[in-house]
Amino acid sequence: MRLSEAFTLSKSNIKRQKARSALATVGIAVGVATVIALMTLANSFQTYFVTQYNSTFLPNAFSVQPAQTDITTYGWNSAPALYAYPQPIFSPHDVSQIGSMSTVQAVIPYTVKGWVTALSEGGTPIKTTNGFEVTSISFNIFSQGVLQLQGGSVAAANGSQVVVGYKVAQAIAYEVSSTNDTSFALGKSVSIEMADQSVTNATIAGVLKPGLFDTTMNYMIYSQLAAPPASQTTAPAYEGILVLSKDHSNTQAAQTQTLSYLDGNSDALVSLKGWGLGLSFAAVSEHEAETFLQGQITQYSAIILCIGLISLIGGAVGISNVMLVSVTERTGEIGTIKAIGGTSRDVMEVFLLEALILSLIGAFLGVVAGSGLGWGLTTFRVLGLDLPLAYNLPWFPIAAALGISVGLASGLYPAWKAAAMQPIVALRYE
Amino acid sequence: MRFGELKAALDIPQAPAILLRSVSKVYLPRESGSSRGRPVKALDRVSVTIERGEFVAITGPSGSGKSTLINLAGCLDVPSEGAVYINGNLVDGLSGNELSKIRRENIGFVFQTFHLLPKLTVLENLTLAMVLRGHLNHAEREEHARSLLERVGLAGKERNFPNELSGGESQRVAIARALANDPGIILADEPTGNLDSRSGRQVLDILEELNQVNRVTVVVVTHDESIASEAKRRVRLMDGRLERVTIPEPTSEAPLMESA
Repeated sequence: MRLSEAFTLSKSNIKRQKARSALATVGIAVGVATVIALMTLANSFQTYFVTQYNSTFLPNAFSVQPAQTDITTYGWNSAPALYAYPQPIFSPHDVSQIGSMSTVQAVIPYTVKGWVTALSEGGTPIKTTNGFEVTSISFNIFSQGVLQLQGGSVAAANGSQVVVGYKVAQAIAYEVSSTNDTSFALGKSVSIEMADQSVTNATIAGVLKPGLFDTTMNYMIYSQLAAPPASQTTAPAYEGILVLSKDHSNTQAAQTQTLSYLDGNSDALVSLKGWGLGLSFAAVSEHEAETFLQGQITQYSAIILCIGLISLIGGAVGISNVMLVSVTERTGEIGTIKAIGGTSRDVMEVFLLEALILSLIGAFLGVVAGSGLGWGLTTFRVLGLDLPLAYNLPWFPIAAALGISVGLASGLYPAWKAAAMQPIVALRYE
Repeated sequence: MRFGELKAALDIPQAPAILLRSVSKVYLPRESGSSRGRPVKALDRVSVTIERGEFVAITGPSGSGKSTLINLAGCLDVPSEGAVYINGNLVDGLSGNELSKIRRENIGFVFQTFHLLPKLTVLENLTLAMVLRGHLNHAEREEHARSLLERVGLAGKERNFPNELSGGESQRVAIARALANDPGIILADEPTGNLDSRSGRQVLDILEELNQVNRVTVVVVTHDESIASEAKRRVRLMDGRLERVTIPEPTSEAPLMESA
């Protein structure tokens, strides 16, 4: 039998079982579409991430922490990530020593203060304070451009000023002015109550730009780090330091220099000795954080791909089912074809072609639906999705090929079953 | 002595169309469709010779082995014991595909329930048989199919589907399909069993004409004595054994055989 003739027979079989054939096709199409849509989303996510990252992260920043010990990380995905050991370690002397290195542009010391338990503005309590946190930090973090203000300005000498994250500003603006416009929070005087029941009064001098994703940075209240008395410059005063190198190319050198100072002759080392901790420091640069996050995204993409593949298996079961039912239903016909001289190969050809046609149509529909789905999900911001559309083109042919092979493979057994049927048994079947 | 005379003198008789030599068929419980019970002996050492150009009726009550016999003769099934020859060639130990080849080149089948493919038109049902043999091009196949339809009196029904035909018409299409590859043998298993008497008559007339005009070997399985009486030779089976072979007197008008 020629292929074109087998094709005609397969086509008539498909036509006869419109509903079932359609379902099998949909099964493959859904599988292929899922793979493509998910890979598109993963790619969009990555694109979004890289764009956001490049615009907010500082490639020349790194923070320093004691090595071989658990550290508390504030804002693992914020820009910058502020790593801090929950005890003051670094002295003002350390900060000025590192700050005077040839490769270092600035050192920003900070101390994490803790959770906010209550917040009020001129007697009006702010209801939502969930996750609000206070960090004391040198305000040169703003002048150095590490953190960028959306509104307001800060003066280095004004100790009663605070800069608040985007969400904090929103909560205050909403409570005080019934608006989401964060600029309404500017200039407001707030009372901040901490877990230790201490209350600090401060003026909101600046609002941060929203951070990458819903980062902890959005929930931060940055207060100005008080300079310690001149007599205590070698006592531990800061929990963490963020170091900025002069430019990206000498970040590595700045890290080496900083670590060799800290590991050699620093006040911080004295603090470590006092606590019996391992006697060395490690630097965590933004670059490493980025590598870490990229690794995570790769993992997410793999998970997403697995989901797509699982749904392809669903499609395969669908095609197999249709073909098996079809073989059973057409047992008599298979007998007839064999009685009038058809060979096993003829029968096999017809059934395999049927599976091939269904999978081809399914794969094509899947590619169309998958691209449409990817486009729709990102364009209409389904479930709050806010990603740029970035198709993962290499996955189009891969997904289509996967769908077709899965369809063919699932048609193989039924086709073989049909071909192996004895004509006499098949004819007797009614 | 001239060559023609020599040939005639030395001519070996033509091999019979179908030769069944002491064939037995045992259905094991699994094959016969029931999960329990003992093997069923459907045929027990039956030998039948059907010469080329014969019109033979195979009769016998239900379960006597008629259908088994014709299935063996048509190479749809293989005997448990004994040998089957088609046109003098031993059919033994052949694969399913080789049997298919023998069927499509030598044998046309007509079944009681027609077995037309329901989603193909009448014309496509006929051309399919030729497609499977693969020896004509598209136009030749259609032309041949049309001439066959004309021959069975169904010209104009080419585009109809089987469910638009009456039983008699369906069976005539089936006969046309059986003729598609010009076989020397037609095997008909109860060809009139599902038809009214008029349609049955038409079908039989066609079969007889094929036999007399075209010298096609026709074997009809039937339990209808009036049909059987028209055959030149009747093979009667009983409980899987050959009961008798009857050759009616050519001049006789009354049925020779009393019904069993």
